[in-house]
Amino acid sequence: MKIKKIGGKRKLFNRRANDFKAVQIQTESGGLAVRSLIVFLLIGVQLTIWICLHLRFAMAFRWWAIICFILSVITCLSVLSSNKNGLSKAVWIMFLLLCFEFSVPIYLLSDERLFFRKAKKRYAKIFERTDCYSPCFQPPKSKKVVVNDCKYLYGAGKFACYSQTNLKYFPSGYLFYEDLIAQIERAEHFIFMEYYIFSDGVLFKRIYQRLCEKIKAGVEVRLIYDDMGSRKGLTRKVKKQLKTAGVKFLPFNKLVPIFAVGLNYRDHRKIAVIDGKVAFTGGCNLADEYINEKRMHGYWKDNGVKIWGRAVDGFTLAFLRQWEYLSGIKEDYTNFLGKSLATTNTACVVPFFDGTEFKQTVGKTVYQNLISGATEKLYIMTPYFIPDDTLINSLIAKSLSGVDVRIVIPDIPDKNYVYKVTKRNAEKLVEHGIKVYAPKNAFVHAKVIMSENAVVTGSINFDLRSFYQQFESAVYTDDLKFMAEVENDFTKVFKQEFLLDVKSLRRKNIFNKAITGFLQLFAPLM
Amino acid sequence: MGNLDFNDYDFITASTKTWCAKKIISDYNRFGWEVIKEESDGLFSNLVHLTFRRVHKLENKDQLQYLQVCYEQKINQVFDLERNKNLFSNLLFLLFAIFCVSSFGLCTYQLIQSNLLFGGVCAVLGCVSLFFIFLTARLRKRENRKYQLKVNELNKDIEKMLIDVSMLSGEKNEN
Repeated sequence: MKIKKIGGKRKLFNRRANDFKAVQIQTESGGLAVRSLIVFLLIGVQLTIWICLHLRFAMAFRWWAIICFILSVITCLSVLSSNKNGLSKAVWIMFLLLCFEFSVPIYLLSDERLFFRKAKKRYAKIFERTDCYSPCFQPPKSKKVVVNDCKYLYGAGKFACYSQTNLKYFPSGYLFYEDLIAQIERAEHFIFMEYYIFSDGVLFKRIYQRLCEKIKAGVEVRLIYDDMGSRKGLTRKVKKQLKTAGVKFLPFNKLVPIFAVGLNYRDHRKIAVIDGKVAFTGGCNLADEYINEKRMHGYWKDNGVKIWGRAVDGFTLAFLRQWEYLSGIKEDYTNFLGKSLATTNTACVVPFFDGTEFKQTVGKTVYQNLISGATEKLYIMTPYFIPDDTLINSLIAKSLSGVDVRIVIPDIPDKNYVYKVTKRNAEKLVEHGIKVYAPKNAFVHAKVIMSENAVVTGSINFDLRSFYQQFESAVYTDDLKFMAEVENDFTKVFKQEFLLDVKSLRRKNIFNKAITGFLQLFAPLM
Repeated sequence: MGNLDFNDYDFITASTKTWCAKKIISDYNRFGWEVIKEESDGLFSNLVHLTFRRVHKLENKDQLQYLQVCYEQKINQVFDLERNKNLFSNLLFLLFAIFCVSSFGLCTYQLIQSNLLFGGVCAVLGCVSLFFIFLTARLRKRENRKYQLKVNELNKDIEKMLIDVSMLSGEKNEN
């Protein structure tokens, strides 16, 4: 290959890059996200005007301040009786009492009992209409712990337990997307994709090329993307390209310049369904950094799952329900369900989802059940470790009762403020004998939890955002072959050199401790 | 990167100093990358941008990607050590040198003004600072020794990494 050289002329006063690194990989940055900047600016302006008006009123009329205080106390009582987790309640009560002049309206705008009521009604109608597509509960032939977990999942959201389904584990984004692209090339009827981040880049180009070919061949392609997550990567130009190609796409929770904490509810799911025969889920979004073709935060460690067999219907149903919610179009789901070929595997596979449409915090409870049911080992891999006290105490109790508890967190973080809180929580665990690993030079984005009974993997982080605010997808299974593949992936990380001790986790100075303590207040939002 | 074949190849652009470009190209070759473009920086004369490409489908690609990140981190560490190896001693030297020159300068001025006492004190301070300047030379030697130990260790790690890379690439060739 001919090497193209462009020589620079020697200048009179040569500028030298003395503080440049020895080698630095250039990464093409995404769009400027101007739209989201404008939205946040406008929201900031609204909030500032709101607060200033309230303060002015309170200063001018004493009775207004007294009324606000009484209202904030009443709201505190409402917070105490709500379904929020303990940490959220404490933070909200503190905010309501300290900033009583303007806090009550802000709280009311964030309360999903008010804000999300209409949306919940719509979801409830969709679930009622499409309930006929959910199979009945059939207890799996498995351990009692697994049967109980499956019963819970069916009770919480009618997530059916399937058998005759195979799974394959991918320990990296590259392997995951190679298989996904190969499956897209074989598509004949429909391709559904739902991701938090769609980002223009090399991976998107590879998939887009195949999608265009498939659309020409008569395959229906539907995409759901989160408007906040994809704000940088999915530019207007790319959306125009998709529209021209014939791809149907819908945004989830569009970014609007109106103050409402509901903007915090994001579609964090990662689902791909092809012809109703194969489904994919896991930690990978559709962007170059997930396959390490864009350098961000060192080596990007991610994972994925391929499912083929009867359980694919679970993913198809979830996607179609979300599509119906966003488009408002009712359709017959029978065109998309029941297309998969049953396999001979007898293991139980339960695709499940979480979001504000469910009354239960499904993801958190499944994790909690898995932790409670573990008697020999418990391995967790997560990019963010910000659980509430109940989960932390459960992990500590398990470790003290002899269970081998190990947690894998990133060495290089993507958000420093979240990482400080993650390390603080990890420090609490290490003090009680739990092993915490951080693979050198890697950002761990995979979300997996496994015990000797079952494994759960998907998009659910081990943090409060995933448990209480985001729409998530995951799969629960006790398939032994799959569990062995997952355990093999964990074993590669369990090296002595990656093990963190209390000394390396401890915050070095009082300033750092103060910052971490302050950041804990925002843990429910992280 | 408009007309590049993204289906069959991966592409990266690495920016590096001109004096170590050859080493980077040779080391990246072991990771399976071949250089397709070499471009000088428009602003800095000692910077060059290298565009590499590699076959997209590779055996052991995950391990190679991870080792590449570790290799880049080690190489940058060596470079940082080289840049900062005598930072402390240089700083001390500068401080004492300024102090020494000021002291002797002040001493000369005071002697001219026939202020012997103050001139004498300045001369003593100047001599003391001269003594500390000679001490910084010893400190510099110690820093160089420490630097050499660390760099040798890092170079060993880099060599071991490159051997692992060759083995992984070798496994691919055998397959």
